[in-house]
Amino acid sequence: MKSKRINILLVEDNPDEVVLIKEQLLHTKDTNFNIASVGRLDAALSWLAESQAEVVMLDLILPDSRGLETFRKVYGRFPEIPIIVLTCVGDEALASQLVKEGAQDYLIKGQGDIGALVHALRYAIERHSAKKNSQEALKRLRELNETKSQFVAEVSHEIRTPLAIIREFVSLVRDETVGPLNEKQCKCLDAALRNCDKLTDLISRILDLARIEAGKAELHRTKADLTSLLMQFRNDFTPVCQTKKQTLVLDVPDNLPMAHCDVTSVHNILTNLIGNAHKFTPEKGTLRIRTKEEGRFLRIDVEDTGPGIPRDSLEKIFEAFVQIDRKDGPGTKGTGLGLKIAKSLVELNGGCISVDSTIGKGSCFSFTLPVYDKELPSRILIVDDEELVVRMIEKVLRYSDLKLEVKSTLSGLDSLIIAGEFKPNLIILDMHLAEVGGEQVLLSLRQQSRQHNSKVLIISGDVHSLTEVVRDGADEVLAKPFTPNDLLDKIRILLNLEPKTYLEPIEEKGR
Amino acid sequence: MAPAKKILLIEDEPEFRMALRMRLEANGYEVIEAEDGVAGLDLARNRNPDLIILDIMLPKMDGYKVARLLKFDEKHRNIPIVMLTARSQQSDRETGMSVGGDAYMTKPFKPQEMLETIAKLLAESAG
Repeated sequence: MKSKRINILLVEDNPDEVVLIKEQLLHTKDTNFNIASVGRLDAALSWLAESQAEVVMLDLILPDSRGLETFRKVYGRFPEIPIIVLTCVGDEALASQLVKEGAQDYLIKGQGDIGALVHALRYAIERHSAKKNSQEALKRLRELNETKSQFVAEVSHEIRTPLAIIREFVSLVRDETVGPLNEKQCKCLDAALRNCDKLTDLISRILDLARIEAGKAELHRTKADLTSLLMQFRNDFTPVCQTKKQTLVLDVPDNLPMAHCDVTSVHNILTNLIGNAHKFTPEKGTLRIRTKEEGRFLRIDVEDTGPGIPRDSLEKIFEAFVQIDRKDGPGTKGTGLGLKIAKSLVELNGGCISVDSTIGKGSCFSFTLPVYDKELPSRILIVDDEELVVRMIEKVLRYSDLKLEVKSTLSGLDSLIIAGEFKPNLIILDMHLAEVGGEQVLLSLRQQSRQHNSKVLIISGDVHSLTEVVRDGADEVLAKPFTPNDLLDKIRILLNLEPKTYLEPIEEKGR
Repeated sequence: MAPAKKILLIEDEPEFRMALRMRLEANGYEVIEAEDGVAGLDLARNRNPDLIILDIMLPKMDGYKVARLLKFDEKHRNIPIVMLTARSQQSDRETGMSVGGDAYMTKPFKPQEMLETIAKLLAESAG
């Protein structure tokens, strides 16, 4: 049954080949191929701009274009249409290069039977649509997550008002504003108030988490003195510890280097960890905060002498609403979000968090924060297929006062591999790469760099034509042509480096 | 004895208004109320309150606008304003302060906190 109809554009300048391919495809039993053919690249591009094709069969040698260029021009403009390249015997190396650059498949002219041809066509379409579907699914998932976070934020706000009213009325009665109470009544109302406060706390935490998950946490990472932050924290928290006659010990070495972190979130992390330690440690126990330098990180340990956490619970303890079964009775239960928030905040600050625990002895939560060190070189990767531009940027960076480690590549494909290993702090990416579109490189880089926080600076000769995808994915955009100082300004902003000396303007160089 | 300090309460939630009124009266304050921004602004201008408790999300005119209009006005700019809101983002807090709130409280709050804030602001504006 010929039920499915597939539109093919055949780009081939040899009329005999066109006839042969058409002949083969028209005799296929279960698929109805609809074949249009053109003999030149310009004709192919205008055909594709106006009509729909499920797949393009593309001869590389055409009167108006040859080799790689032929493929790149079609793929560059119509990346959404799968392409099967037609090559001659002996061109297999070129063909496999094209597959790496995004062609779905290649066929060698004069070889293979109808079966192979039809197979190639079907697979090309299927693979391509699978890729497209997964990209779309990912996009939908992101949108859904965004909607969820917004919903959570709105609902949380709406809960606050009635909660405020309940709290206010209960406390009016509790404070005997409207008449005297007996002891039992006071106890009941105290319990009601305690739970109002718990609910308030829970809502704040849900909001925090929603903000973090929506990527809207307000983080300002700066140079921070962890020693004074911890001392202040100990002073603030000591009265709380005294309610259970616990000792809070602070163990900070002299000359601890500065940290690079957002102070508010570090305070939040410590509050969560020490709050737990305080809650689960019995009276007269000891809480200890210990810090030390570990390579490029500062490590902060929060130790308690509580009951400890069972081994099988350690792994899932940082997930939301996971609470370890304890026999400590009511009142020790938290919101179940504290550790999840702590973990997210630590990671947003570029560190990691872990836990170790011995039953009967106590637990130790450890997290790291990067050392603030402007002497530490920032890693920059330049991706541009124009060698002159790459050399120019390298030169600008070399003569700046910034301490940098620079790598460069002319290939968008190579850049993905290099970025994975080099883990650059900043990627300078040209949008108009010849082989694969800059947009594709950006999307792939983005998927990688989410894991190690690379910033992406787009350079483009035509900033007005940048798509929304690019604008969303890039941290900054710089229009070509740019001056050395334009570039250095952007780099300083993106890498959070202090502005210092500027390069001398070029016209004053001779002085 | 000094006359009771007069507090203008601008809040659209009737039950919250009632609870706050009871609390404030129990602590010796005189309370006048408005349930929207326009009525609130009118009372602020004509009844000489010593302090204003101002919700942000209000019908007719929001709390930010009420605060701004009062602070622009020479005759009323010295009346301390406590902004009330169900929001808690740091940036909201900053907006609240920059448009003229002298203090900012997130619902729900502890009554003691509110009473202390009011007492402090009244002492400052008297001195």
